[in-house]
Amino acid sequence: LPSGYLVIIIDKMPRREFIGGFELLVLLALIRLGDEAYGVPIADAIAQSSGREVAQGSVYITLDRLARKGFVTSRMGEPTAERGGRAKTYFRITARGLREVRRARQTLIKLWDGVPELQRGTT
Amino acid sequence: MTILQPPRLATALLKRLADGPQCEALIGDVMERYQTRQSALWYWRQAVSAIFACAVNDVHDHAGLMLRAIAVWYVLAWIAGRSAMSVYQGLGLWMWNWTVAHDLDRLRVLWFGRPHWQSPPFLLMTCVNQLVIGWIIARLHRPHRAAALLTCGAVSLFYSIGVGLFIFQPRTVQLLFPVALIATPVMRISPVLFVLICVPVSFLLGGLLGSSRSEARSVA
Repeated sequence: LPSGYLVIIIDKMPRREFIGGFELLVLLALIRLGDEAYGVPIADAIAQSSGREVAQGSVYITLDRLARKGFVTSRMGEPTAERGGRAKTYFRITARGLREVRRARQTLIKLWDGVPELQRGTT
Repeated sequence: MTILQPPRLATALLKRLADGPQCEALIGDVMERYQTRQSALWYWRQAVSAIFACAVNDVHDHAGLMLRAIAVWYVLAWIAGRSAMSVYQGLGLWMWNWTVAHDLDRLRVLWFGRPHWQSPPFLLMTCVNQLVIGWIIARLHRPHRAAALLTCGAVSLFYSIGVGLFIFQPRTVQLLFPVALIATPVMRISPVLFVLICVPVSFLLGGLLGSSRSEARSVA
């Protein structure tokens, strides 16, 4: 093969995309919330577990990125008066997203195990 | 159940600038959370963050369009700058003769400026130019106006910082930026704060005016 083809082949090879820390939090919140997952409960779930305020905008940026990667799907919900007549967008994790969360968990556990500094204070 | 009305200005900015497939839901979420938070400061922070979130998504999705917006901004800014300078210089001789003939020294000082303060009418013309350019950019990029405005606003700010350094020329800048040593005296008489603040602000204000109410989605 000419060398140019090699560049094309490498470029077309499927890339393993690692999910980031906040992406993982959003995916975990989606799994916990199930069918009722939209922006507000997702942000609340992350805020409650992390103890930090979460900007609604950053949740949407992350959800948009996850949707591009094929890890989440969305559907339109019903509008309510307290939302100024705007419809909710419900999100759901895909099978691919779920696989990626499991993979991330395994990676974290493997890296976690056997590191004494990380064992302290966990029990 | 009583619906609490969030700060009007923040809502108006959201309505005018937050755009995109998910932004409707995002605005709804911010409004829904406000019912339990009830803090104007919190709402403002969320509104600004939502506008930036929508704009960042738009920039990511339409990078080519943003490059076009920057090119249009640059061409318009260049044409407007040249035109303003031609008008100002063209009127200069007439203004000088007229103010001398009518003994209007104060008006002459106002028109031509003083050392370290460039002519106020020229600065005003620059602001109006930027306002109009912002308006045009918003109208030309209606579906992605927030992204186009913020991209061009950021470029305008960097451009202004460059021009500001060129004008301000403190010793440290002269050391770092040797070109400033040979800057023309005309450039020295502009107040740097004007260039750094008023130009981008005028541009964004023009963009806000260009994002008409009819295009903004209605909030009940």
